[in-house]
Amino acid sequence: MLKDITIGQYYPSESVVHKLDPRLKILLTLAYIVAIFFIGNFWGFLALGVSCMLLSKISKIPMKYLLKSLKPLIVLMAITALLNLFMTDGKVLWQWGIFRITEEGISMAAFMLLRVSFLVLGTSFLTYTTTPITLTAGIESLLKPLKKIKVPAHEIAMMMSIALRFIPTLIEETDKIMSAQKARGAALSEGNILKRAKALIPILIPLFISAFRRADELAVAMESRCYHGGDNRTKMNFLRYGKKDTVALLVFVLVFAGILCLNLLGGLL
Amino acid sequence: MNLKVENLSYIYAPGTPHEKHAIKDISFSVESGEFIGLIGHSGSGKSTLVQQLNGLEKPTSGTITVGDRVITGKNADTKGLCFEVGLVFQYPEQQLFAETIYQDIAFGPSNMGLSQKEIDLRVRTAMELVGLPFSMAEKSPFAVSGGQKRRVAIAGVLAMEPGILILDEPTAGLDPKGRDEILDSIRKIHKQMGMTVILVSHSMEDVAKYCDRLLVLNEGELMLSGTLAEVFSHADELKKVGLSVPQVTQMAQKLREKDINLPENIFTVQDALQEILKLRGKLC
Repeated sequence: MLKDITIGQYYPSESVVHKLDPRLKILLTLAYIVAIFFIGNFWGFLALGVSCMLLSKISKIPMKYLLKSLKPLIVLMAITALLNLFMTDGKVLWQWGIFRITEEGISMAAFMLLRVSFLVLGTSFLTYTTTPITLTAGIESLLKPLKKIKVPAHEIAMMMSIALRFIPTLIEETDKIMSAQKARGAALSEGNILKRAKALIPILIPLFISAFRRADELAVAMESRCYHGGDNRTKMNFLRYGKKDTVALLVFVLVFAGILCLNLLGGLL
Repeated sequence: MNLKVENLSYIYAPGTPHEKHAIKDISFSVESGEFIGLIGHSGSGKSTLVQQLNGLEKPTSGTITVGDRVITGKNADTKGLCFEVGLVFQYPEQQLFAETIYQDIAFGPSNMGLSQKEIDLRVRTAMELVGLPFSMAEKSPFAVSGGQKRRVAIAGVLAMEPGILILDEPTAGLDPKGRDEILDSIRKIHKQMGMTVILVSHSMEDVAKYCDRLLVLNEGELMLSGTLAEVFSHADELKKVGLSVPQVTQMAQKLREKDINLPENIFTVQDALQEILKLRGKLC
């Protein structure tokens, strides 16, 4: 069950997308997030869907795997959709007490659902195709100019890479603790919300204890190797912006220009 | 309680790049009241196997029979199986969570829905079995020593009074004294309660000292199974898969090569001592 959480997990494969410069991928992802909000009709989303499917082919990440990244967000998405469904004013189609569904509400709910799904789907390409280490190297490099105004770029990147590095470890740990408590008959998925919340205590307490212990051990291990911040630290792997990155950038711009054009056309229809 | 495993296979994360054939067509059976050793190097599938025996994981194919219960395939009903097959995980002290030792040990029995009186009795019995004085019951499980923490965790499983007790490397990370104490308590529990015990271990010395029969796993397959003598007679094969025979058995082998007439069934220091004394008796 926890094994199903795929957000922030690298999917090993030998594709062009995997080899792109992480800085480019981060910037493109940011651009993607902004661009998604310009899409205003279903033609645009259709084009976006097709592009995402193509990207999944190119990056050799199965669509099934990508869709899995939506699973943990189902509740959030359901709430967003429901709120939009019932809270939008417009032509009333159905009414029952204070609940009413409007035509605008339906399309608004569908829109938000698509938007959130594509937001997660598209951005998950970044973490699927980039190892945490290269990802943070990219972030550090992008934040470097901010060092001038005393933003601790290296420290931020280090904290991020440690946090990312520990996601799978903590998931594994949680899995282990859950198994251990289940072996003592803990009922984790039974009863009402209160009961379920209570059932989490035997999992959360050992998890926190082990997280603190790990943090402590890591700090000692880093100190014993004389780690001290970013000044004068050299890197083993340099990031290189190459030809394929330029090509990728062009492709992205073209595809998105295409999608937005279609979106405009669709709007006119 | 007896246990029977037939043609058991388990595939981990099928259909993903992490797919792994963890257990391959394993069959064996364990009689009620036996003390079995399960050995194999890291990643040989020991932990996966034992998690299926108590219902945490469901077999991809094959059948597990525990007492009267038959577990077949993915949709098997394994509810309550964990109370019949108690599993003590590796480093079990990492699962402690309650405010007091008493509450932590009572977690399993109260999940079984027992009465307060029965729970109290079971906590007391379990603490006694693992050698913890009842005066410690109100202490925090985080405030006691490493060896004691482990006893608390083992008591937490014992308190459910399972018919089969499986321990996944119960002595990992303990000092020699702690190790002997834990293993001696397990032997005591086995004798007193008549529990079937499966001891997962890396240490040939430990399994030689405590177990009647051994199962050897290698890369998900059951490589060897039989009595100590049967398994340890395959010293070369065991070495090939990163295992070994007890050191004292190796020593006896070396002595035999030097024409000292020791028998082959020496697996513990105690065995060796007796045989050497016998030999000396003959010589003098």
